[in-house]
Amino acid sequence: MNKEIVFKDVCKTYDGKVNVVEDLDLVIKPGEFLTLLGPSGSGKTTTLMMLAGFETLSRGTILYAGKDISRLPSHKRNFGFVFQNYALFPHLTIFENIAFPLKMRKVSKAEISQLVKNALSMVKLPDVESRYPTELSGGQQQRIALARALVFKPDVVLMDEPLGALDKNLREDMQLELKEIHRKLGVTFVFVTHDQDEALTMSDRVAVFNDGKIVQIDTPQAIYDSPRDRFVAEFVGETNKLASRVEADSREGYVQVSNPWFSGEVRCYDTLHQGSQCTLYVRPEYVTVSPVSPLPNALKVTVADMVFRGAYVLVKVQSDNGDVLMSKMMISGVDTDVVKIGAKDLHVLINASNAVVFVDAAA
Amino acid sequence: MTDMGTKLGTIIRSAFLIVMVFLMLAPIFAALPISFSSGSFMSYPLPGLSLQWYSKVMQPQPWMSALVNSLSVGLISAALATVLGTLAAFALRRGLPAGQSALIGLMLAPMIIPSVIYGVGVYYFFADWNLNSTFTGLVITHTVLGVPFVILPVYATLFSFDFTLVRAAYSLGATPFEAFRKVVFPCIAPGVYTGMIFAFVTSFDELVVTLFVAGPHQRTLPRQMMDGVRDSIDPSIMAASVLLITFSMILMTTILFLTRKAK
Repeated sequence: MNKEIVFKDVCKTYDGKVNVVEDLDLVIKPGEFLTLLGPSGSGKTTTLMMLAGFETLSRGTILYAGKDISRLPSHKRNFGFVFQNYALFPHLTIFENIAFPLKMRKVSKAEISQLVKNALSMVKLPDVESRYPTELSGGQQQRIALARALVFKPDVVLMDEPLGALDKNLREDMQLELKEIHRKLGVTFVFVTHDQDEALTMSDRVAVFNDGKIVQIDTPQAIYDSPRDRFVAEFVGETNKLASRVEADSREGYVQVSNPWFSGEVRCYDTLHQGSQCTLYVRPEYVTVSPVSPLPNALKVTVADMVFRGAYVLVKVQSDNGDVLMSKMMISGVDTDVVKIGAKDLHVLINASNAVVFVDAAA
Repeated sequence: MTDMGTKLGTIIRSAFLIVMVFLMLAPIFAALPISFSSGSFMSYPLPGLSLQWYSKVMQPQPWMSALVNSLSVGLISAALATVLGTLAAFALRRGLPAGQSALIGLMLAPMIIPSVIYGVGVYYFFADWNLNSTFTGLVITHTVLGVPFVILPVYATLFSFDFTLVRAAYSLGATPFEAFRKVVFPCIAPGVYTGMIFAFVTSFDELVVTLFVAGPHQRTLPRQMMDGVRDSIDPSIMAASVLLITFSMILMTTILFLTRKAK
């Protein structure tokens, strides 16, 4: 049985004018960890809510395992849901909270107590059964919420920014743990976040949302390395944007461009014509600052700022005409006697193998 | 100077408190001893002590039948008011923001409209439906009077209720009814019970509208007391009052306990 989730031409509007989600087509593969990533108001949460059955569809259908579930009430979907604010029942103990979905399914008492125990040990909180939610920390409460959403063996687990309220270290631990739990259970996870690091860390695939549409859906690496869209290039990861000129018409996915920093062939997905304006996107880790000149009359730069981040260093350089470029280099490859704040007459080397060009909208 | 000021303030405040409490409680305590009088008039000094008025109040007619009537009307109308008021509070909390304050005002109107006006209105309204002098009519009137007293505490409780809990319950397999019974109700129960008690007390204490709507055979306790004062000035009414005060105190303590538990 193919337990795919399929969104077909799904629209959602609240006021009949603006589509919060527009003509959405999406296939979620069974067992995958899919993250819906996007800024607030991009439609990612609404998409999740429709999948959970908390929001109705204005148009289109959602299929699960070949069946139309668009109008199926949430309590009949057998999907687990983890909320950002945990949503634990305050009047019930931890045991009763986790037992809740089992009681709804008329599971026997003995089995409930065994399943609750297993669930608690899975989230590494074995001794809190008799406590109340308010007696636990935020991180612990979220683990309980996760245990409660998993204990009844749901077909799909949906998560709405579940780590959003946790502090950074705890969040990173939980990311790895979630990934491990996903691997162990093999259940489909659909995860919503606006945090790109989180999306890249955990997911099998990431769907990037903008203005109610999915602009790219791909593996984390493809999203990072080959953004197919200007929005994705800017939203995911850090990047340098260089205004450039097209030197020759694009051919077979490559185009000849030039700007004060760089000139050469770069990947492109648009059709570009000679003489038009475009933007070159290049990640800081493909920019090297060095005392050696790559070309006879290469641009000279001054180091405006440097930030040490442990294993690597971020270098902000400025050309004489005020243009700024960010470089990210492994600390082991940088001679800090030469590259330091205020150092002049350095040069910039751009490795364009991973850069990408998008055409500028006609002004 | 400031020291003197604060001291004076404290004295004035304490004096005010004592006077207010005295004024509120004095009538009750003044009446209390007469209920133990061995005489047959409401007057001091007491000729002697006796429980005769308590035993008279305990007779089936007219006091006990009035009590039973009051209890039946009170319990039924409080139950109805609780259901209606809770549903109304939900609608107000979850409904459209536009016109909400006007709607709240309308729903709380029975609390504010003078009972005489309400009584006359109901009398004319019920005439067309043949509901005057009926038990059903009395229950309907008291229900309407009780609803705002349920709406207020439930509406207040709903403000601290997190509605994502309902979605959580659905996602865990609870039907809407189960979600209400297992999640919503336990969370808002203190508000609902408080409202129910207030609605009951409102009905139990109601006199003016009852005088309009109830027929001659429809005796509620307040009506019986009113007649008692008018017709025969014997101390049995005082015995009934003492019993009622005790009963009210028990109810109020319950409310206090419930609201404290809610926090």
